[in-house]
Amino acid sequence: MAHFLDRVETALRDEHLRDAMLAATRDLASRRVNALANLENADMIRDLARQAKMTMLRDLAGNLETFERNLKRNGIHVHWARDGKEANRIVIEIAKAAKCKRAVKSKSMATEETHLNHALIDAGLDVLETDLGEYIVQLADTTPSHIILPIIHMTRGDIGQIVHEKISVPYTDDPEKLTKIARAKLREAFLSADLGISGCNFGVIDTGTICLVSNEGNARLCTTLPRVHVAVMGIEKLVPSLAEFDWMIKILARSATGQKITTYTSVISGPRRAGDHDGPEEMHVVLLDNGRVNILGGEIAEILGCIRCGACLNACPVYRNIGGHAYGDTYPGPIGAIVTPGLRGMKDWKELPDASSLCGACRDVCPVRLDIPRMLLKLRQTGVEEGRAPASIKWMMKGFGIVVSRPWLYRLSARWGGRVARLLASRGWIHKLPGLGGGWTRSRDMRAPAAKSFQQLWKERKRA
Amino acid sequence: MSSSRTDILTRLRQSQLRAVLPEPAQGLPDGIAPKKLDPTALLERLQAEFKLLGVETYVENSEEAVRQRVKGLITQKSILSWDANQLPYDAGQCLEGEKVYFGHDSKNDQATAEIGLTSCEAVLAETGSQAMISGPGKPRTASLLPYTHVVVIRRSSIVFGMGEFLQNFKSRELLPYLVFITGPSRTADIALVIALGVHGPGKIIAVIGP
Repeated sequence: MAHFLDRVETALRDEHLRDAMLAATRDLASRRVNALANLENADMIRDLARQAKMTMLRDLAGNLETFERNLKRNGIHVHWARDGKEANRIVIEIAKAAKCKRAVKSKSMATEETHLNHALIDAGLDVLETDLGEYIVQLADTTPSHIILPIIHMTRGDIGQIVHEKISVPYTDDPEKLTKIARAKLREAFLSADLGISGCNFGVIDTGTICLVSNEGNARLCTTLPRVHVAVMGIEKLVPSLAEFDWMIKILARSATGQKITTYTSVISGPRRAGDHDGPEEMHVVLLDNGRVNILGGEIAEILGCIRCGACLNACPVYRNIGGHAYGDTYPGPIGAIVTPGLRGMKDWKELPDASSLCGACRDVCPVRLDIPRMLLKLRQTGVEEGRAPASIKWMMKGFGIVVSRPWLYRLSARWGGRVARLLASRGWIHKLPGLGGGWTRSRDMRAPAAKSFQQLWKERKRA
Repeated sequence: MSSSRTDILTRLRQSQLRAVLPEPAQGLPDGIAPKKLDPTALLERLQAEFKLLGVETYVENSEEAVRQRVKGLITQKSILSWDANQLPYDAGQCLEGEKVYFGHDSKNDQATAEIGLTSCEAVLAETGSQAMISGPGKPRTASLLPYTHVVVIRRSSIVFGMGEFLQNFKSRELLPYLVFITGPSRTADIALVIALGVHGPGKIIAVIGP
């Protein structure tokens, strides 16, 4: 994969991407504000939801054992996977044992994380993504760029072209027509599929229940028509009981899309029962670690309270400009800048925590009030302490310390630095700084310093 | 497999000891007090929410009027229905003389129906959600496969919100299969344009009885 800074540069040069991201994220962000303003006791519900998640995490092991016991009591098979490979192997084994050939999937971040689709296809199964956006992603053989709007980066023309080429229908860029085409195509797949794969938004511990939300209804179809259902879920997605589940539902859709509630909220507590006409004969839950145990054992444990609404993405000035792909992995935005290094290790992902201005907008909008800036700073600090930050940063910081702790030196360098910088500027902006400063101007322009420093102005004012 | 279980749980117990998590906040209530509105206020709120969601709504004041309304909506169409005895106000009578599929028919036949006819366990006034419980005589497909879904609602089944509804289920009890349906199936995936009926019904018609 290209280096992080190159991915950022590619994204910034894509004007359509920037326009689309800005329009969509602004729209979602304002819907969120309205939706929460109309929820009675919204602040208290967010506090309660946060508390419930944090308390659950304190004994995640014990809670998982109880959850497992209750799932089994409901007739659900439970599997444990240490990593993505193991999770994929488990799903393939389930499919083979039940002689499944065609799988339909509803959107799931956990299976994006494990790259389940590729593993299933390699194992000889047909797999179809059924969320409209994910379906297009699969047709185009790309990756999603937003947690809830996977193809936010494509124009309707792009999408029309992909659908036209891949499933041989006449070209149209009308969203309603494209939606109808997809409905017909995917309906056939649902009716012939024998395996339904889903994620899980919430696992209710004391009822042994899996909850799924979707606006399109594909998650409902995936868990209703095929004879086998497998839900793959991160081990952190638990809530104690239906009361806490209600709080989460109250804030999830409002934070994500500004809806009061998602169109379909499925509450599934087992396979079909005697006399039922539909629902799977066999139901499995795969509990996925894949780095979560490590995250819990440290400074960013709090991030496991995330309910994946995407509000922090929409609020983030960095995400709004660079979009999801630049983050390079399953989870983009502020949440991704913490989760990705946490799940995959700091070594290859050390730049991600830097992709933030630390403005705090993410913390303000987070429905469960995760202190995202604190965790980003912690990851940066760890990066420096473990010697992963470039040596130049260390020297610059040292130099900066020397300068600012000596007023005379600070005044001198401010005056001369300002003069030099103004020489480099054209029409008030500097496009390229020399030396180490070049890193700063590589992906952004810098304002030329003012002609007079604050100290000079202050002095003049006192004299006057 | 069991070794993965042991391994994950063992390492989790070690991780939990080192976890940096915020201190529990003081002074938070235990939960949210259930909200009770009088029946008129509940119906008004429900109608307002249905309107926002684009749910076509008819409020009828007699059982006979409900049946007439339902008959008018489904006649001459192919129907996928709950069993007649699962529909309130004897609305099952409306199925006589119509082309009807039920839960026991093949999925492919069910999928050809134009209209789904169901009732629901309760409706949530706060969000305009139908709380559906499926089971014998009450296939999930009827509110899922056809493009149009007609739902017959008992007025007494309107409650305020999800919390108030879920209170009926005591913890550790076996929950039935439950789904909350709020308006038509929708997507904004393509260029943020709302399109209806992407997988589930694109049109919902609610008939609220006395």
